[in-house]
Amino acid sequence: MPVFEYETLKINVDEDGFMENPEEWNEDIAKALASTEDVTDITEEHWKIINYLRDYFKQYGIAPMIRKLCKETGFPLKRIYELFPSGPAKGACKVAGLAKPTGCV
Amino acid sequence: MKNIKIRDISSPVEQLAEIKLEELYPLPPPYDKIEEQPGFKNLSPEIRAKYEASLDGVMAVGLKKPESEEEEKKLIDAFISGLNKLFTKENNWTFLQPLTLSMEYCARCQTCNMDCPIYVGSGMKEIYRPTYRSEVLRRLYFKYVKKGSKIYKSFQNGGIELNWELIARLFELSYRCTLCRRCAQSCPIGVDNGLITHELRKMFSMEMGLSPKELHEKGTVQQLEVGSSTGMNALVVKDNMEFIDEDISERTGIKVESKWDVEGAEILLIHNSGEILTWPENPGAFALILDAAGIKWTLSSDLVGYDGVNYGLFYDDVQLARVAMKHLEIAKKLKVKKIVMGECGHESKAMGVIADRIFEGAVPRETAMTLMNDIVFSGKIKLNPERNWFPVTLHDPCNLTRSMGVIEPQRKVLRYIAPKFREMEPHGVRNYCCGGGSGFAVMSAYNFSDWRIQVASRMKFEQVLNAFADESPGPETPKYVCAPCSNCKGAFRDMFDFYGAKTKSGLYYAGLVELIVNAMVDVNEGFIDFDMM
Amino acid sequence: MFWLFIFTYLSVLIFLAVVIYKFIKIATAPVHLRWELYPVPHEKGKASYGGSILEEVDWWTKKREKDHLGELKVMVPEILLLKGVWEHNKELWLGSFPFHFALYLFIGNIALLVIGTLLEITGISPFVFKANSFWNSFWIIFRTVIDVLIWVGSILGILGSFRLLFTRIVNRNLSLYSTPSHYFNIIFIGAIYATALIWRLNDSDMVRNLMVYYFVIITFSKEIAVDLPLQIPAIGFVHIIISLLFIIYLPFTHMTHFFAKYFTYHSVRWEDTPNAPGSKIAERVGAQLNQTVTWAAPHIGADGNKNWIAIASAAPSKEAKR
Ligand code: SF4
Ligand code: SF4
Repeated sequence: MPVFEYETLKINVDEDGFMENPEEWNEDIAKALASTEDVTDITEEHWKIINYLRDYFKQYGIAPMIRKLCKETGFPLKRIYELFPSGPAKGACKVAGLAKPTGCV
Repeated sequence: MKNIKIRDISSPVEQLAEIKLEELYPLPPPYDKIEEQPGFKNLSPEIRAKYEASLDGVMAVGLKKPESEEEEKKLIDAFISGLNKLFTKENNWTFLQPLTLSMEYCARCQTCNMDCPIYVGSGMKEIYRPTYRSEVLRRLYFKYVKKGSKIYKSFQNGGIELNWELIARLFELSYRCTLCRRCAQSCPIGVDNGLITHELRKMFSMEMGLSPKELHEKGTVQQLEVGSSTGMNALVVKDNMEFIDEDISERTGIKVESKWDVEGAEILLIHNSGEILTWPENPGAFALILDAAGIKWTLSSDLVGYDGVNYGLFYDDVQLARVAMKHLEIAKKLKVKKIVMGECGHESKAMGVIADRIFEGAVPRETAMTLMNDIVFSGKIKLNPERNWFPVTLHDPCNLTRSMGVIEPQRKVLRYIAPKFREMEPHGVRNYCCGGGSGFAVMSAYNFSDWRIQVASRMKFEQVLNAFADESPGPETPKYVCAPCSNCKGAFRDMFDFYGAKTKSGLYYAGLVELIVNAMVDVNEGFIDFDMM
Repeated sequence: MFWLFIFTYLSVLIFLAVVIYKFIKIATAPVHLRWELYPVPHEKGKASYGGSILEEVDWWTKKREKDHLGELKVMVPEILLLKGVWEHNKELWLGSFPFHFALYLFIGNIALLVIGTLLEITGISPFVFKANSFWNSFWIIFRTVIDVLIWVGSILGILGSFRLLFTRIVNRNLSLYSTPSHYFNIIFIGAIYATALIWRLNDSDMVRNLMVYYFVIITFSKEIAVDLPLQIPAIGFVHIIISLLFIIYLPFTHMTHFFAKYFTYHSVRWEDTPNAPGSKIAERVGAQLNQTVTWAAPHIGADGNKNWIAIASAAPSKEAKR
């Protein structure tokens, strides 16, 4: 299992850089992971998305539908791509400490 | 290594082949500048120390290096044992005849080579030649499985040295072919190199337990345990469909409601559940059209019943059978007249053709293409083709066309509802794979997506650009690639994202049913909204 | 030259025995899962674009009509003209086509010679005839045809062999994948063509001699066999012996594709029979599902007793998480 190191943090990640143990996530880790996703500064907007993803994940154990994410946070998909250049699934979910999405998504 | 030969697969060199961007098949502008392309992620030395990347510096799977000599020996023995089982009727009756024919009768004429989009896309890299991995397996087959004098066998078929290097590389190499079977169409003898790849993967999975996580643990195993390869359980999927119903009703002005577990329905509709999570307009559009056509249909909320994917098709006959049996069981339980497979190529092929001989007393199955063609021309829904004002081209999923012969229905629909429809070249039964075939679209570990997008999808990307060559090249004209398959859509998304093709060329992708709904007169205008895609 | 006839019988016997054995082995292989590859030419009205009956709504209620003529339309140009190679590999076709076509001409000759002998047996002798009779002209034409086939076949064959050998050596795509046997086989077959041509060049009675040889073989007539050596030149013997050796060798090589191709097309590429309840396929598959699985990966859950049905109905074994 690869270990991602950022400043003093050591995070267990999978081969795609997603957290292996999502329950260990915290805001510092989010910042660390954001650095791998071309997100230099986590703004209010970023947090809104991250928090929604975390809450949903806690409840259902998987990532929400992208469309749901857009609707519930009020961001159009385009904006999400601007905030997280690799997109909602690969970018936002990773920073939010979710496990890598699976299946044909 | 330069001038790679068959036997070099067991060479001790650190890496057999290297991919250089400037050697790949050239793309048309504005994608022709190598310096502007993202290129390949390099693997870190730590990863390379632990995992096998000795084929081409790319890892699809991440095979661990054996830690001791004993372990290595055990793996080699397991490989030989698997190799032998592959040729027994007890273990491999499912494909024994075609496999043996493909092993024994290849004329090594290389007539198949130039039909492989990966080989051509890679700039003709030796290791990606359709016959390279086949020839390695063939030599092993003659050496370890076929009886006969050693000298005669190597005179006839050439020799090969079996070692761990070979196994590690051959394993990765079995994930450098999309099983698109385009090469098989051009083989005069009827040898199928795609099948050979398929059998190799099976041997690794069924004997040695080696397969990509995305297809196995997170794929078929998760599907059989939780209900879906996406991880959605019945509760989540119902919740999501409810959301889709609301969303679609709101956008179209037509009340849509998904039906669940309706006994005696005409149609059991099984989507690739990736659609529900990622492309919700697709299942939404299905619901809307089926209702409008007055068909009694249902979804199933049973375990596996709401996810039509069957990754077993790509790597493991037992997993294939397990998933297929579940689908059939549910259809029987619901006493439906037929199963309709949603817009998913491999689901259609797995259920429609491949599993046909696993099912006993099966429920009839039909593809969505056929059903949609029927509905569109039945007169039950009113359509205004002018609403699809943008240029449209059609991508043919290999599984639907080459492996099932479902070619015309989707075209008939498009020729009618999309006035600016144009074909790509080649198309239909001779199409190029999207590059996401055989599970590639869901595989992205390490640097595999870099390879998949730039090599496996290369010919497709070029083809799409050429199909719209008569339109204004920039984003001002949105261009719609109709890809009636979830896997293919995943591949297009990644390809377009990678090159920034949405902003540079205005390329968009989605399915067939979305175009139908977009043209429906009773629906609010603008169902297809490029700003949202 | 008695031994030559014994050798001929032996060669033909070995050839037939091995080919029949191989044929039966392929033909009795288990029913496999469907793996057809479109275009399938017997799909009536749809073959031209590669379509299938699966394009029809409720296809299982429709009658499946097989267009056998459609299959022939694909097979004939494929076999005779090597259409696939022409379309996808022109460089190779330049050698492969004459090489194979010459073989067809020679095989055609064998057929003609057998027919000629059968006529002879019925009493229509090619050697005693009345001038200007029907049979007189018949035999003249008959022998001329054979003669022409020898000329055309051997010259075409020699050219094809050289070209093929050249391509296999010079073209890297092919040389990388060629084993010693490939070169050997071409030279072997090339030698058949070459000796035929040399024989013909040296012997204006070659056709007549061949006819005698076939007559002896088919009628087992010992008397003529004793006379024969006087009439066939040395090169003729060389030709016959090389040809017989080749007949023995052929079934042990991948060149048996000449009949295996039947199966790759008819039993795999074009094999699209649905598994209808109560059909032969259903019955055979049912039996196959009873076979024991011994794949060793943990998720299979094989224990040495469980058959396919038991394995496929079970959930993946828990050790699957690895
Ligand atoms: S697979 Fe077919 S086309 Fe390719 S080398 Fe073998 S015989 Fe020739
Ligand atoms: S199946 Fe497709 S990807 Fe694989 S070798 Fe053949 S043409 Fe290439």
